[in-house]
Amino acid sequence: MKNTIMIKMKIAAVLVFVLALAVSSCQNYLDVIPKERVSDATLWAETGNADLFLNGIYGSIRGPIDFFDHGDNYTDNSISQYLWSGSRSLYVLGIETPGTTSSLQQWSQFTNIRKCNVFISKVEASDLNPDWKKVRIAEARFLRAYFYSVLWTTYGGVPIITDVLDRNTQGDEIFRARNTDAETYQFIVDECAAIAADLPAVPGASRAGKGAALTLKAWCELFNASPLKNVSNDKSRWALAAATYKQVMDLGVYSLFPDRETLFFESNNNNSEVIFDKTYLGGTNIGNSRSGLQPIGVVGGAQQSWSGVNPTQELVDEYAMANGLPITDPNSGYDPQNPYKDREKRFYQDINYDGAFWMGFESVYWTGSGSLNELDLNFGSTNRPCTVYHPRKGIEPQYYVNGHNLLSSANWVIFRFAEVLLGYAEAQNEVGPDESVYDAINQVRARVDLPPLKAGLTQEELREAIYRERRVELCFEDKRWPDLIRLKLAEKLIPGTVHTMKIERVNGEKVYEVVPTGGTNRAFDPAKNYLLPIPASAMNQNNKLVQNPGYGDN
Amino acid sequence: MSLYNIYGPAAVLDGSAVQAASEGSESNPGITWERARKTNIGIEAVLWKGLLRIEGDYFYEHRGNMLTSPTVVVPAEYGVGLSQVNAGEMENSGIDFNISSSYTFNKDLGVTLGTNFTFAKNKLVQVFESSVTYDNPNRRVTGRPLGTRFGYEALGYFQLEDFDESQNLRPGIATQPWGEVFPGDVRYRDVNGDGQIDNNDIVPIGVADIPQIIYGIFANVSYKRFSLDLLFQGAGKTNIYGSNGYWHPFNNGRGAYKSNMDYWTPENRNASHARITPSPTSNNNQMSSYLMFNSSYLRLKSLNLAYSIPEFISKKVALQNARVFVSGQNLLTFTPIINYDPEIINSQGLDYPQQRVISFGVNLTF
Repeated sequence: MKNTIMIKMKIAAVLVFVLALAVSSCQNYLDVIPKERVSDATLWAETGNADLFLNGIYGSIRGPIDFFDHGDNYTDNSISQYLWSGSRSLYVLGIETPGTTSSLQQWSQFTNIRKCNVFISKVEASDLNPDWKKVRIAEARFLRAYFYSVLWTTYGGVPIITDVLDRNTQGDEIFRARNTDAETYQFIVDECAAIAADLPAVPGASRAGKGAALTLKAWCELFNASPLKNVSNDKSRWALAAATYKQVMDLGVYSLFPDRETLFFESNNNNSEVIFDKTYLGGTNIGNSRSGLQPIGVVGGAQQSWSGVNPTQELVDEYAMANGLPITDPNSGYDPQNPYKDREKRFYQDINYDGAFWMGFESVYWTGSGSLNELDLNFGSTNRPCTVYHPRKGIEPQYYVNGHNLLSSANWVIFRFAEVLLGYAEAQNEVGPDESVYDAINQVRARVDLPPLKAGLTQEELREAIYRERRVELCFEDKRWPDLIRLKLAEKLIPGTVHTMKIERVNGEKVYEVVPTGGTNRAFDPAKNYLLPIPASAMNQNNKLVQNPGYGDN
Repeated sequence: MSLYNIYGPAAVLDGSAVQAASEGSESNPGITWERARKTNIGIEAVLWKGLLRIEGDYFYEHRGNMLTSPTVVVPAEYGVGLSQVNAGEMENSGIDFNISSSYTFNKDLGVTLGTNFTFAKNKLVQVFESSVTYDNPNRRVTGRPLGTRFGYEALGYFQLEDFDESQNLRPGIATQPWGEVFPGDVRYRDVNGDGQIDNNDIVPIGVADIPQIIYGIFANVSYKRFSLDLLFQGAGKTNIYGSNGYWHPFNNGRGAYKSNMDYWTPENRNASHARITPSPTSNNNQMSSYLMFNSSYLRLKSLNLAYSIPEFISKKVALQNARVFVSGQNLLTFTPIINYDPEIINSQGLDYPQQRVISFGVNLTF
């Protein structure tokens, strides 16, 4: 009985309290700011707080297209062994539509662009330290230009939005039409040129510096000089790219990292070669899972990786012999029945092949071996690979742990000095081959103990050598796809068949044969596929957008 | 007032992991409660001294101010999410009744029978919808029940005669955009007749996975010292969407169902499964009526048979009361869906299934 009375009294007390709150709420006592959130007034009042917002933009940079269904799976460099992957089932079949889109899509970069616009407008309006403001605004403008470069290379012209959209004050003005291809390009390179002076030559680790702004500018200039955009092959465009790449080389800040094999490992983050990267932190939700998703699937009887990337014979054949000659050269010494012997260093750094040792075990891909990594030409009927290769580049043995394990802190390199040298060589060769072209490409070769290119090559021969060098040096770095697009090579190299080696044992000897692998119906329509469709959701929500040619109305 | 969320770690800058701030969704200061207007008309009757009891109800509810997301009213380039606003409207209506009858014939025999039944209909009166779906009567979400699925209408399979000698589709057959098709692949209806299957051929498929009809039947018979209780339950007008995990054998390391043997071959033209492939193909895995399964069912949910031991026996062993019984749950199920428990609405069929339980017991009171 006593208990009941107590409870009733408590209820009465609570009621009084609730009533008191209800009355006082009219005076906004209840409008408290949640503890995990901060207000405008706090965030933009101190540089340390405002930095938080810019940190978020750095954190929103997209890493690779995908660590698992890797960006190179969308090209002739590699193929996914999984029938359902977006690269295989959609993109390389040439059937991406506005309604069915692959991981190559980038329209969501507009979320990052808004962040940059918010940061720039809030910081400009603030009374924060002018020196700090100058650098940080330049960083945000660099990031915005970078996000636009991703959109431009993917879609062509896009709406250039440099203010913060607000439906309450702008009304229908929030719906913006696309700028032209030329306007979008010009915006990016002008922004890079304008901020380069404000950015430090040697920035803090993983922050944008002068070199990043110039490299981004050079990359867009190279893209704009390439056949896709430069229909009349205007030489001045190539000259522009070569000059900007030269500026990066002359900064004297960057150099090739001596050990290419460990260049991408977390222990070498921010090494002398890295110009711009996306950061990861192992053991947290921003960890890097590359080593559990791409390499060979089963080692020592246990599955250790999802085996998402199967390099093609086309890529493997591009690696030179150790003597520097391509395997197609009659003097190269290449033996089709012993194809992995005496190849250049990068082959052993980048590619895991039949007979290679990985984690102390011999990799077994040959047909009839019964290995869990045995070649599966019946494509997708098992979890076995459809070529006899896996990537080794950037794969860290200590993080070779199955799946999305988020264990590594290795950064994803977006721009590095080797790309600058190769970009320079390519652009300068188009202007007119000279000694500086050889200098640049030979630096990249010397690092991996390849002899210099033979002197006196024609422009055409040099171009071929540069393309090969670039493809090999930058494989699995999401560079192949934009290269195929800008060079208009996609229509030749994406359709058709990709190949693998098939290895059988006859009388105890391995016999090698190049055969087509899965993935028929590869297609690329040059009339439309050089630009991706704008996703239907974006088209539906903004009737000022005009779809890219060939993709219908929605 | 803008508020910023703080989160982290977001990046590694200047050599250390850093926290970050980001804009929250654009706020909606005018947020308020949902508002429901309900109407209920009911009768309750007991006739013939309890021989027949009827409870019937018609209900209608109009729900306004529902919180819905207005995202489609700004362009995708807007770059920040919008808070929900009170703008949705929905109607629910239906009937609900209970009928039971109880009669005692004599001191040995008594019978109770009853049933309950609910039929409910639901309609979205107003939602935010982009003009692309709104302007297409087949794809319009407004005016349709909540949870309506949209997809392609499967016409069956491509057959050998649909292809010419060079394995190309014959003229007049709409092309499908998900890779090369072969005999035995699912063929979809070209609703607008433009010769190609695309988003404009999407139509509502099936009914929502929330059943429109729910019913139960119960019975109790007592005869002398025996008593028998039965309960059936069932649902009607409901579909399960079974994505590829449901039907594809050996997918993702799973096993196979016996029904997977019934796949398309030139001889088995109307099989329940498309041609067999190592893993699901994009073409056969589209959201379509091919993957919608009728999951109505009637199930004997429980049965209980008991016998009370006569007092002259129980008294001898110093018991006030003794009763033995056998009971069972989920004993019988009638449903057109295979390999699935119709009470599960997870589309992969991966929830823990209902179990059949049979128990024997003795109830003793000292």
